[in-house]
Amino acid sequence: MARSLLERLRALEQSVQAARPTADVAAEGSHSTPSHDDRTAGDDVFEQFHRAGFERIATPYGDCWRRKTTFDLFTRHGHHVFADALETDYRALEQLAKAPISMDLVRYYDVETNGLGTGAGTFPFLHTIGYFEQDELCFAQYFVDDYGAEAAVLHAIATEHLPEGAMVVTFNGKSFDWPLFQNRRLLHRMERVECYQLDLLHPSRRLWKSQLHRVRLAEVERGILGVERVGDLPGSQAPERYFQFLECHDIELMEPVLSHNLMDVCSLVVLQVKIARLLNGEVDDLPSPTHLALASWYDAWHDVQAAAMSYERAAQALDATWRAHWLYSLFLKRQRDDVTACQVWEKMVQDYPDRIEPLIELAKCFEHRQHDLNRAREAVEEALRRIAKPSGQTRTALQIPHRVIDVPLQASMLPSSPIEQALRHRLNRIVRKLGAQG
Amino acid sequence: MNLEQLLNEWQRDPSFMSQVAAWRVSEATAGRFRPIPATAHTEVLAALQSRGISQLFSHQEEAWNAIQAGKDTMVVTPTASGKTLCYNLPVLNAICEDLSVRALYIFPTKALAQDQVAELSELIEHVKTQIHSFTYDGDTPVHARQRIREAGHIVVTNPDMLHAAILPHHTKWLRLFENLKYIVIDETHMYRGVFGSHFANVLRRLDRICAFYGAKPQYIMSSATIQNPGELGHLLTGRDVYVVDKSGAPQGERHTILYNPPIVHPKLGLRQSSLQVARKMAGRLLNEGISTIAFVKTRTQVEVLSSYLKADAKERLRAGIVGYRGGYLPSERRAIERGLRSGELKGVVSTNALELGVDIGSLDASLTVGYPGSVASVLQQSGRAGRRRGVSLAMFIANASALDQYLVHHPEALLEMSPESARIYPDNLLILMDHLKCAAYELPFAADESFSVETTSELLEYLADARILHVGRDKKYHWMADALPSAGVSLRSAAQENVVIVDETDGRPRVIGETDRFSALTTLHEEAIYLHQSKSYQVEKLDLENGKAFVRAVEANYYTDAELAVRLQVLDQLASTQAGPASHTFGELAVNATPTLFKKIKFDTHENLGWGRIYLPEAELHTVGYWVSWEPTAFQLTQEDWESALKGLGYLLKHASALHCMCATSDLHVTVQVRDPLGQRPTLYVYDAYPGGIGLSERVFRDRDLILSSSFDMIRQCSCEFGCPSCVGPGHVDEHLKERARMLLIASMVDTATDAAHQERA
Repeated sequence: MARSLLERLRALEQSVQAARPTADVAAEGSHSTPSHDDRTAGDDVFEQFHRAGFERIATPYGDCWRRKTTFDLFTRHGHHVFADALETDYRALEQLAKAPISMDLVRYYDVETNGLGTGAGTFPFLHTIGYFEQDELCFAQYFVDDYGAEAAVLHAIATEHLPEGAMVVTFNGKSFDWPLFQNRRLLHRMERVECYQLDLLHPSRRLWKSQLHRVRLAEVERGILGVERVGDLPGSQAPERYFQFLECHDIELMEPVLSHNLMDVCSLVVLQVKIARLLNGEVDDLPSPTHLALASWYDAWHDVQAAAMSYERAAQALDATWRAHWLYSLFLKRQRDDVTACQVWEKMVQDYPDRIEPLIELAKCFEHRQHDLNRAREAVEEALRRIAKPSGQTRTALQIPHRVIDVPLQASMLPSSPIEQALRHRLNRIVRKLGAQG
Repeated sequence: MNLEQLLNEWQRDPSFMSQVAAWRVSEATAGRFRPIPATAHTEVLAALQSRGISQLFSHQEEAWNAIQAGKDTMVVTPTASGKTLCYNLPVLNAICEDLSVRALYIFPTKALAQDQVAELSELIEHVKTQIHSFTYDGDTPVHARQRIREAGHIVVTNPDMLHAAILPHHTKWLRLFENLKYIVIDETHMYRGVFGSHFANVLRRLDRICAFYGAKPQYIMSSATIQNPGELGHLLTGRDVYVVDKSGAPQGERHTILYNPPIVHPKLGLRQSSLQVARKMAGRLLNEGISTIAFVKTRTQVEVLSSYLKADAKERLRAGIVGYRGGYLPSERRAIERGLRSGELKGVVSTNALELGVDIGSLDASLTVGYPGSVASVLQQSGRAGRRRGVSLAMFIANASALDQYLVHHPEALLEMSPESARIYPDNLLILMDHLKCAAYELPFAADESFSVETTSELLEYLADARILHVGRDKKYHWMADALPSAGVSLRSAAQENVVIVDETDGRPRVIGETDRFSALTTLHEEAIYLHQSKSYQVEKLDLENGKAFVRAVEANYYTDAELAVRLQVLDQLASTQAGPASHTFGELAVNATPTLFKKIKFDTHENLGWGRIYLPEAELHTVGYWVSWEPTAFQLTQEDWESALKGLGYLLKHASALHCMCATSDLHVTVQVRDPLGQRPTLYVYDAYPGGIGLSERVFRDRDLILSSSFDMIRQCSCEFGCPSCVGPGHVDEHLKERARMLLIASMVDTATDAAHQERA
């Protein structure tokens, strides 16, 4: 007999499933058909939420659930205590944030969602806001127990936690959490909220990308902040938990997600301290790439002294690479510190017998600034000797990780190397000048 | 020799003329002009003036008036009649009047979008007001996207991008949606079949989002000539559409020739291959320096014909002849389009990829090799040749298929019959469900909201049961899965993912093309010869799981042709009638197809050089179909007789159905069973080639009497003795294909016809 619409649909969807691996991950879990009749849930659920420490917040958009958790300032989180956040000089970090940092307006913010992506269907079901209040660090966790409660949550967060001039501190919030918050408000036709932004992901990436496998909060915690999580629920399992909650309304199920999210926000507090103190130059025992990252910031802010110090430390560190020496030398060149620059290049000539870049720089410096044509000539001749060496390594080594170079080194990969032509040209000119002198 | 002289020569050549089924000349017509509406914004008037436009064609004025009156409007006029201005004019006018106004232009392909933006920019440059128009497609750099969302007055995009990037992220497009006044849909006739059904649903989603932001944009559409522009516009947009279809543009003299290749084997009814004829005709035209485009039906034929033409051409012309088809990379295609516009390229062989509005300028002659599946396509293709003044030629070269032969015997069908209707079926369950999910992701569904179908609430409930949606306390259906639904839905093909073709010839892997998964089964199986730019590649490995086929260039004098084995199962009978010994049924089918073996076919002679096995998993298709089965006892037929009868009739019905439904023969599949598993009766199935069906076989079921009688015409008019491609398919003397099929057809037809006649009288 004729099949019902839904039977036909089921069969159809099954038949195309194989061709569509991405379709309906959630459908697999549909073996239990739970009732979503939430009227009977009523009182019990309220009771459970209260027992779990939630309070009911009233807003013009209806009620929503919030739980406050407070920490004593001297609670330790990894290498730091939360009080450190109040005793840190943020002037350098302000440069980075391009905004004033006042601790009574800083709001740490992180969300848990039903999935990644920033499309209109990405739904944040848990928002955690951290802030300092008197002698405590407070966290307000807003849990959206039902899609219908979202407007109330969004309203409460904006009115209660985001005063004018507030600075929202996040990890990857610039492209995820914060736009998501704004999108959700837009979907409820609420106004945009204007706040200062400080996203700790980008500075973290610059500081630690050479050290960490992937610059994610969990890795930063483990490798940099000294935070060890015990029995933590992986963030990737949060959506499925929430879907389960929607079926049974048991807030107990969400506890691991709530505490996971709370930990994330705790880490934001100490991560902010960590980065600020690095920027302040308070730590000098650092890996070379971290010094380099700092140096390039100082350089950009025209803080010559700090930049010089960091470049030097980067070059002197035990793990200093070619890049550290090279960037240091270019910095010196820009500062017109010929003497030190030449010292660096000469050392590089020794340490990197396959590279010609320091020789070229030396030649330029001797020819045009020191007017020592003989030494310029020696440098070019040595460079030509190095090119002539039939070593496969020379070729691949000729990639310079910096823009400030006026020889098209990439082109040197070609068989009839333009770099060699340029060197010969330079040599001829120097010889000509020498002849004119003689 | 110019085209006019060549046409004269052909006219005097009896051997040529004896194959001409029809030769029509349409006189040059003068244009009808109207003044530019004085109500237009002064800046727009100035811009038109500086572009040298001092008056409008009558249809442009008509469109202007309709749009100003707030009507959703569709312009249906021939190629090169200035359709673009019909929408650019009101859009620019509205923006000049109010800079907050936004417009969205949707083109069926990226290539078309790029083309139109170039033309639009030229006009914009002459407007004093700073108007920003941007293309937003997959190639748009990420850093530019933010600005486009904020500042683009005119955003030009394609359905895929709208579906996958704009609608799911609509909150980022606040400015656009809040101020959206016009939605321009160009090449509307392209949105038919599965693609059209998807697109209608994308527009339903667009409409919901506009409503959310309080906008009610007006549609401006343009289309090539089809029979039902108003209906298509309505099906796509859900609005009543005002149609402008009287062109006021001038047209040069135009010759249309229907050419039937000569019979080379009268007994077998074999005709010279249309491809060989095309080779001769196009070769002649090209050698006379007449720019020519030849349309063939398959990608393989593109490669075959273009290599023939290159080989035949004079040395200096060789570089000016190219192939063009889907599967080439965008950059390759752009270069070809540029070459054609500039005249650097003189000859091009194409699939229908070029039949759309890609701007290649106008050529002198077009050849349509084999019926492309619809009159609209023929018109589009022949529209590629033709200028506003001067002579042009459109030649249709029939092949041996039943459809083509029917058309050369009834030239009026092609020349006078109005072009067919573009059909879409937006309520195909699978397509609908896909978009319902996307729509729910974009905005929650209110319980009483309708997605233009009555069953919306039932379908939402189904998704809630599957835990894809969740009913909140607000009684709305909210998206809940951890996935982006649009990512799993491709608008172009019901088979979802593409297979990219990787050339590994010189060590460095290079992507040279792509194809859909279903075609991959028959074109990219291991050992298949894949043709690309006239070069042969052999497939070494097909990795279906990862969507990759690895190929290597080879020297081969053959190409390959694969066969599918089909298993078929009736899921549900939806309607059924008995008529004499035959019973006709419409219902749902599960079809399992496995590629079995492939043949190696020699170039030039097309002889069979050998074969090989294909080892690939079977593909499953759930679809709808029409089937007819017969009471075996009513006939005195052996097993072999039945096989012949069904085979012949199947071939015939497939072509007659495709002709009737105005679809490509590849949109319908036919399968026959001498004893069907259900009733042990001989059965013939005609079913839609797309999951869930797109309304074709439903139509075949409804109009079966008409289709059976035109099938009978096809047999009767064919002069072959025992079956040929023009009627029941090529047959062998011993098969009695024609005879048996004819017998079965008469038995099925006469009864129904007389039954119906009796009923009418009663």
